[in-house]
Amino acid sequence: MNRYFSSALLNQVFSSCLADFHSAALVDTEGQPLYIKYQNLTDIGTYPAATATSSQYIKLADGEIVILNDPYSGGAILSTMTLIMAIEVPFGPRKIDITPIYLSTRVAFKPKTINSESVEQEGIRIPPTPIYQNGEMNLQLLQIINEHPQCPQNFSDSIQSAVQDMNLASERLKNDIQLSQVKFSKKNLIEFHNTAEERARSIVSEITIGEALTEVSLGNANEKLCLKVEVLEDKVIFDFTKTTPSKTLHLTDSAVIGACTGALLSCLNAELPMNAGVMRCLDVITPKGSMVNAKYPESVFLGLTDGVALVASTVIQLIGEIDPRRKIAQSGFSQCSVEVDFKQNAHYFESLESGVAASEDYHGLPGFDLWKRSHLTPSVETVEELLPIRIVSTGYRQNSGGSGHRKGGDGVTRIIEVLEDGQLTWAISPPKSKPEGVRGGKAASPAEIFIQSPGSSKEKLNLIGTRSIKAKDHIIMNSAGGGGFGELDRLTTGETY
Amino acid sequence: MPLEKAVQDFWQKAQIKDVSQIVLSLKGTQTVLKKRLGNAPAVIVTEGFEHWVDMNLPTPTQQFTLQPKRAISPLNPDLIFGLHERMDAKGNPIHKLNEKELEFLVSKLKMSQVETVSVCFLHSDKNSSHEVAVKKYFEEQGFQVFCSYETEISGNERERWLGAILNGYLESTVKDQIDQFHSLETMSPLRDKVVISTGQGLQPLHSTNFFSTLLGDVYLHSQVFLSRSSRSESLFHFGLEGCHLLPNPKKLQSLCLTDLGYVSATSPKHKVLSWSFTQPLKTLFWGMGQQVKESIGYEPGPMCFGRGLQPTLLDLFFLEGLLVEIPAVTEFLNKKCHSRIYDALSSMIKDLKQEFLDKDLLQSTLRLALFELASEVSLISHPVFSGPLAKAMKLALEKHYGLEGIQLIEDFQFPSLAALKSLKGGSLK
Repeated sequence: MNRYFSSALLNQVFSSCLADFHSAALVDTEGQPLYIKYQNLTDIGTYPAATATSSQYIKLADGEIVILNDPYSGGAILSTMTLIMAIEVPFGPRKIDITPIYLSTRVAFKPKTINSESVEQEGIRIPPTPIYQNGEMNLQLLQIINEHPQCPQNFSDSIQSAVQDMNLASERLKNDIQLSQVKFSKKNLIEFHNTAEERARSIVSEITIGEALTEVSLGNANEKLCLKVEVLEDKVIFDFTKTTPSKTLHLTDSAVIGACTGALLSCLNAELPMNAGVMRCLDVITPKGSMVNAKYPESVFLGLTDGVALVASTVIQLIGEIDPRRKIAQSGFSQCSVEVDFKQNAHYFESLESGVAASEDYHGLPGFDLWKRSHLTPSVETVEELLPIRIVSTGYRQNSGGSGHRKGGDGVTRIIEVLEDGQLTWAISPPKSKPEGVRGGKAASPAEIFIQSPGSSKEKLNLIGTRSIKAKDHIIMNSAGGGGFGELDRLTTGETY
Repeated sequence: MPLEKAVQDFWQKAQIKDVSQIVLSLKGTQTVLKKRLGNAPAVIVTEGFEHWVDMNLPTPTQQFTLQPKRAISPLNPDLIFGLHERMDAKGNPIHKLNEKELEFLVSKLKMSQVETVSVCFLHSDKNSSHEVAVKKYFEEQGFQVFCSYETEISGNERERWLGAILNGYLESTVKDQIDQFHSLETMSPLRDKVVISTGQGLQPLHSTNFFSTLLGDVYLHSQVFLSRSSRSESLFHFGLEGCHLLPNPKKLQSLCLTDLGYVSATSPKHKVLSWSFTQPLKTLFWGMGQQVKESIGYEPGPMCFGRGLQPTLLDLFFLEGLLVEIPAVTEFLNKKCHSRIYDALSSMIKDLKQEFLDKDLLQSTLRLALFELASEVSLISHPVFSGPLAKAMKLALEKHYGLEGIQLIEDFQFPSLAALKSLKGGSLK
């Protein structure tokens, strides 16, 4: 069988198997991802890391499942649970003709705490733990987790539903591999990875060779994100040496790998699957103890949300300097998040999407998170039915995108009225600078959050904080716009680049 | 072929004498929506939510990109108006309607020469009184009005609002299609016998749910299937352009997935397959020719018709000899196209470091193209195929994936009107 054909067919098998999942991955026993269906940047790097860590400590038989959420074991933020199932795929008539792989998926719950000193305050932390063995759920374990005060709502039902989906996917995978007639041996998986690597390198080689470096200050003189990007003939190196620790942003190294990979792929303007072969086109160097390779017990919520977006945004800026054809302005990267805790465990969480940067040929898209694949925002009616809030208005934040020959995308504005007293927590990640325009394009408006009580004027909040809030108070959230590209009157002045 | 001639030919061949009813299924609605050929209505929403519909439009690409795009909106931003009204989550009014505001809106719309209005308020599923009042006011001023409470109540505001908006968007083009049909010489004397097939069943012309005409063929296929099926079977319909699956024709669904997102609309449970015979092939990541999502239709069409420049899935079937006995396409085939199509397929793999023989290239490309469908069919215990290209598909899946036991409906007999099932309470009764 021609290897390009068999690899393309295997890729379709993997894609079909994961079709019904929001986010999932198939990883081989060497920790090499075969296919990642990612929802965000963090997914890309952490799925293989989670699988590698759990298989190091726990040996799973066919169909058995482990649960974890610990970011230091390859998990994402603590409100997202990772489930990993072993699948033994037969490729021949003998009992030993089996290739084991892992299917992994995530169940995301509403995030709870966004400002914390330690990861332990961000939610219940679960190391790799068997949850499904011998065809049965470990209901006792589920119950224990359910009763933990930091356990998310509907935890048990959601996990059991995910386990059912994984069982169906496992059957589908085995059925489809047989249907494809591709021999699912280790040798063929190695060939699959090598073919993917060969194809990916030919696409990466289209980027101009060169290097660029930058330092991003996080507002505090001692806190810097330092990055040097080096584009070689068919490979890219991301070197974060000299990056300092930070008091607010902490990322795991696997999340940084995800950020660099996702950002690189977005610059290529080609549709690439996410697998080990593609990921071999990059090297990522992250010094231990720095903000891009944080250690336990640093809190990770901001790092694995806004922090990965900051890294991706920095990668894109540097690639744009190396290869001017790929130059774009700066998109807003802070999620502009708020949460309100009411009595009786009612919890509201909101994060607004920013405007997208403009480029040479396109205006920026308003209110769009570049680094999320699912963009469905919760229904206004559903939120109001479930929580003591009223959404007064939501829409694009007029003229918040940077002006220019190509205008940056506008951010989003949302006004919320709380109907009961509660505790408000908010975060706009550093740096607080405006998303910059390029080549004469203007900077966009930065993110901001206000509180307004009845009869009072608006009060602008600091970047991060927490305070009590009263019934009838309004929370006004404005996300950042995207930077503009090119001077506004470039056409009339006849200037070119 | 002009429509008049096509209808006359059909009338003669079928030797139709007495007509009790004519069921019209409008395929054009799909094209109008897909190519955004409708007319944007004025949209009146709860104040503060003027951008809400556009903000929730999906993105076609599933990959990270620096130039993302949303689905093209059916709305004209100059025709979206916020009205100062509000219900709370229980349907209690917080802000009441103001007639002066309605007066002002009417004058504005008349100046813009708008004739159709879609009314979309929050929580109208719990309390529709504001929408009802606005509808009455605007109808008295001569406007055609569609309200979100009139669509299926099962959806949230996004789904209901899209339902009302798309009814307004499609109204004039659907009416034009019906008028065109009525004006035919053969049809003129029979106008009062015409009903429209929609996702909810047969509807008289004056009360047609315009968006639901998109689902008319799904309803008809489910009826044919139900009239002959005695077992639990799933029907795959392979049309000349689109293909769909009816996994259980007795069940209903209340949301319809479009490229604008989910829309509140009832129909028999179905899934539009991401497979179409007019999908073009392009060199994708693995260096092989594989189909891309967007179909190119029949203008100019596949290469085997002698006009197109891009190879399509239909061209692969042509090379395999699977179209020989398919009346719907045989007369259009240009038998001299073989080498052109092979050249196009070969040029797709020029970067690969391994060679293919022509025959192997065709087999591999076709197997890749069929895999997703084969996987879907293999999961179903009693698959049944129907449609003009069903026979070709059956042969292809048997040959390339060894899928046996597929039944074919070659003779698509529509049941008697008396036997048609109505849609009630979540299933076909």
